[in-house]
Amino acid sequence: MLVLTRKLGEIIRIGSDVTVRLLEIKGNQVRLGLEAPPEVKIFREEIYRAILNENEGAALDGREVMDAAATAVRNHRMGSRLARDKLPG
Amino acid sequence: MNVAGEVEVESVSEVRVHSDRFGDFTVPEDKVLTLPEGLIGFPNYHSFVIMEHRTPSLLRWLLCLDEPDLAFAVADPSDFFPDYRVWPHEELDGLGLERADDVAVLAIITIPGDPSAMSANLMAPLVVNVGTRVARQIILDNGLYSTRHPLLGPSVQG
Repeated sequence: MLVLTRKLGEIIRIGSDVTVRLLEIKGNQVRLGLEAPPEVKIFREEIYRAILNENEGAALDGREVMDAAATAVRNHRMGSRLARDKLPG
Repeated sequence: MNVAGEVEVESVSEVRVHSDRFGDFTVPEDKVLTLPEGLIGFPNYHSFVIMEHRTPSLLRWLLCLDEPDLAFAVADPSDFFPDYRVWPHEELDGLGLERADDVAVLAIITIPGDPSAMSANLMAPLVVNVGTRVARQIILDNGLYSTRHPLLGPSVQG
């Protein structure tokens, strides 16, 4: 890992078109200003990790999983409709 | 890696897909979606298609044509979450979208062992430019949405 020391307001450049500027230090928090071309997506690591895990977990194991889910959705909708129909007025 | 799935172009207009896991599909070529960046965690797969389920359902298939044993359940979030909005979002600009009319939004559904606990990933929807059929999984990091919104709330009780 490359470790650099920077002062407030100073910039690190990554490649030719990504920059990271140290904007503010408050207690144990640091504010960074990032500039990058639109094709370079910038994410907070924990957000990216959560979505990656969710995508991997959402990959279907087989047709029967989808069948069971479709049935659950249909039954739930039907249950809601029946319950609503029974409401007085 | 996986030799089980294969995709064979049958004619200009249809792609036949064989998946050991999901069976056989015939896909109209003009329905194929291109995901230039893939899905998050699956950056190498760029070609997908949305298929109806064999019984009418609010859930649809998002089937990967590059790897036919990879598929997801997806749903139009407005069927379950009427107030859900992806607009505005700077990443939508990358899709060449001017108006909300040009875009279809799909949420990827996670189906656990108990399907009644299924959830929608509203934080990272798939947005599709309907005209060009280019799609991206965008991240709504606005504090409003999580990766797991229960799809089936409690039934309305009488």
